[in-house]
Parts: sequence; C-alpha cells; structure tokens
Amino acid sequence: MNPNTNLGYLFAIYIITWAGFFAYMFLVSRRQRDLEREIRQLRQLVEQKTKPAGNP
Amino acid sequence: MGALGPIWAIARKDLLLEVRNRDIVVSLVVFSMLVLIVFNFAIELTPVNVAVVGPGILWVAIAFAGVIGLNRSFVLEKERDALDGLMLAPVSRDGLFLGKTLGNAIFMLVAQAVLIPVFAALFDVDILRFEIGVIAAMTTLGFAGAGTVFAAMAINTRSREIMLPVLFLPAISPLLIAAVEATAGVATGGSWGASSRWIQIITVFDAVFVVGGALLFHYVLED
Amino acid sequence: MRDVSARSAWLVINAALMAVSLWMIFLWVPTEANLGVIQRALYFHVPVSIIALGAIILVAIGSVAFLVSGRPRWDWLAHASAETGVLFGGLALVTGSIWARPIWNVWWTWDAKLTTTLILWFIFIGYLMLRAYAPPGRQGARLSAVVGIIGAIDAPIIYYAADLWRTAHPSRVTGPGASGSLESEMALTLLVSTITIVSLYAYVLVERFRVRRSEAEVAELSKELQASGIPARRSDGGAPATATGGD
Repeated sequence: MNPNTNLGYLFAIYIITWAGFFAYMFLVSRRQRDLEREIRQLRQLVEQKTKPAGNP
Repeated sequence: MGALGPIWAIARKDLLLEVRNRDIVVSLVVFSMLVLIVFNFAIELTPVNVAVVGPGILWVAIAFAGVIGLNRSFVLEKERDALDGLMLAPVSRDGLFLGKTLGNAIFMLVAQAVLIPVFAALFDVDILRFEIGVIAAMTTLGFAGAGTVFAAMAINTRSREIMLPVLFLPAISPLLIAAVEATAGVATGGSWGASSRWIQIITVFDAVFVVGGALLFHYVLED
Repeated sequence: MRDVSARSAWLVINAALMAVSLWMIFLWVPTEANLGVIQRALYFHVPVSIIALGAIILVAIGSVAFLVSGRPRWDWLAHASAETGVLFGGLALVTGSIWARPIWNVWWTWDAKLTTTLILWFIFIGYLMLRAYAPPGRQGARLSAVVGIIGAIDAPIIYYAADLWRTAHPSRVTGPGASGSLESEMALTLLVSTITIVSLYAYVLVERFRVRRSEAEVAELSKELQASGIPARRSDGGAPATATGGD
C-alpha cells in the first residue's frame, strides 16, 4: 500500500467534515437572523396595538 | 386479579372486536405470507442455505406485518374516537399500555401460528419445535411492547403511516437480530445452549420495553 | 449586547483552535508508520464520532428533565442536541466510510460500532421526523422526549446485539487496524483536535438552542398579538418549522 495514494481520501474526509459543519452553521445562523428580525417586527406591532389603548 | 383486571379488560375488548370482524389477524397473515413469497423469488434458496437464510426471511415478514397490525390496532381506536373513551376509562395509563400490548401480542402470535407452519412447509425448514414457540412468544412480546408505544405516538402525528415504521424498525433491530439468530441456531440443529445468549438479549429487550413503555405511556397519551 | 461580544470571542477562540489543530494534524505530527498518511483522518473522525454518541446522552438528559420539570428549555436542549447529533453522526458515518476504503478496502463493514452508530442515527432521524410531524407545542415535545429516552436506553442493547452478531459472523475484512499505542505527539494532537471539535460542537449547539428559543418567542408574540385583536400573522408566525436540514 503506497501511503501517498491515500491523500485524496484524507482530503475528502476533511473537506466533507468542514463543509458539513459550516453549511449547518450557515443555515442555523441565517434562521436565527430571520427570527430576530421577526421578533423585532412583532414587538413593534404589539407596542402599536397596546399604545392607543393606553392613552386614547 | 386486582391490578390485572383492567389490563385483561382492555385486551379482551380488542380480542372480542377481532373475533367479530377478524380485521387485524387476517391482514397480518396475508401480508406476511406475501412477504415470504416475494423473498422466495428475490433470494435464491437452496437446501444448503435455507436453514441459515430462512429465519431472516421469516422474521422480516413478521416484523413488517407487525407494523401493519399495530397501525391498524390504533387506527381503529382513533377512527371511532374510542381512544378518547379509553383515556377516560378508569384505567391507569400503564394498565392501558399493558392491555394494548397484550392484545397486540396475541394477534401477532395467532398470525404466527398460521405463518410458521406455512413457512416450514414452503421452505422445508425444520422449525416446528417447542423452542421456536418459546422464541416466537418472547420476541413477539418485545415487538408488541415497543410497537404499542410507537403506534400510540404515530397515531397523533401527521403522516402516521410513515412515522410508525421509521421509529419502530430501528428500535427493534436488536430484537430482530436476536430472534433471527436464535431461530437459525435451533433450525440448524444447534443446541438450545447456543441460542442462550440471544435469548438473553430478547429477555432484556422485553423487560426494558415493557417496563419502560408502562412508565412512559402516560406521557404518550396525556389528556 | 454582552451576549453578542461573548459569542464573537468564542468564535475567535474557535478559529484559533481550528488553525492550531490543522497545523498540528497536517504539519507537526509525524506520519503513522503502519497506516500511512490516512491515519491523520482519525484526529477528526474520532472526536466527531464520540460527540455523536455523547449527543444522544444529552438528548436523553434533556428529555428526562423536560418530562419531570415541564420546562421548555429542556425540550429545546434535547431538540438542539438531537439535530446537531444527527449532523455529527452523519459526518462520523461518511468520514468513517472514506477511512475504511483505503484501510480495509471496503466502504462499509458491519462491525459493532458502525452498526450501532448507523441504527442510532436512524432512530434520531426518526426523532427529528417526529418533531416535524407531531402537533406543535407540548404534545409534540412530550412525544419526542419519549423517543429520546427510548433511543438512549436502546443504545446499549443495540451495541450488545451487534457485537454478538459480529462474533457469530466474522468479518471478511482484513488489513491493518489502528495501532494500539499512540506516540505522545499523536496523543497531544488528538487532544487538541478533540478540544477543537468539542468547542465547535458546543458553539453550534448553543446556536441551535437560541433558534429554538427565538421560535418560542415568535410564537409567544404572535399569540399576544392575536389576543389583542390583530389577526396579523406576519410570515410563518408560531409554526415551529424545522429550521434546517443539516443532515
């Protein structure tokens, strides 16, 4: 077994690990960003709704 | 009687219903025989390999048919809103679980009482023995215990037809392995002792899933 | 925004750890004589696999704690751990296969560890499917908690059965195994890479947990809004849509 012929396998392993990990990270943080924006909008809506009720 | 009363009452209800319309057992027998026939053409069986490969085919047929029977058993409850009635009945959740498990196990065993002789005849495997009866009964208890938990879960989800096998099949895989190996051990004329390690696994699995199922069932069916 | 700065500090630490462990793995540590260059894959594969199994224990802890206490945060932990566990389990299975190919000349062998990992991986795929299909809210959380607990209890039985099955059907695979003793440099490299992977895992777990918390907050706010009379469900409101398909 010539050890050097295995370099391709070695790189494949590292690339797949990194790609999988960062792809997941990217999806999770994008989802989090969307959610945070949504929370801000919802908070504004709640405030708008409650304010006129407080002082007519 | 005491604690066993409600358990038996639940199982008896299912059995009476089954005696009247023979819904589940007939589907179990027909479906599992079809699996045997399909495997016969998919895998080339010879007198040499049949004692080794045959038990695998038999137990796959039983497990697949089990999924269908378990699903049916809870769909019947759901369709007529009987599940809500059951949950209101003065039976604890663990009693409900044990009763449903007992009923499901009996259905599967009745189907196996037909299937196993047919299998022995079709594939010419020397399998009609007392030991096989013990192995089948013990394995079926584990199937029914795990299956009752997962079927009760799946019934409350969307796409329950896929949810049951997806949860059930990987969870019972050690039981399936053990049943196949124990059956093959007996079928190839091995001593009863050769199968004892596998019987141990079946026993542990049964104990864990029957006790665990009884403990967890009130989280599965909570009002 | 103290939270944000702590997280960016953690990101910087992660990046540094990553750089150090990559340098150690590819440049510093000597090549293992028996297996050749491919042995360097183990510095990643081993910690990833251990985390995949550890994630199952975390799911079980979160599930038990949720059923006992009824506090949603335990359910969020279990869910986050299950999803990241499926990610790491998938990576462990794929990288293990690629490792097996040059070493044993097969992509897959049914040995006890691999078999157990594969079956558990499917159980937790089932867990995630259940989360997607079960009714939202507490009922879905309870059902998944039961699956999480069953998965963890089933794990040793699966391993024992797979191990016994292996001895009954010996492998046709031959070739050098991983050597027993590690040189001190290799042990140090493995240690550093394990710390790196654990830190990355913890980071992504926390991120996933925060997504669950934000989803709950969105659901809460939409409910509040509806109660106050606005029929508005901006975007996807309270539906606990599965955030990602990391598997």
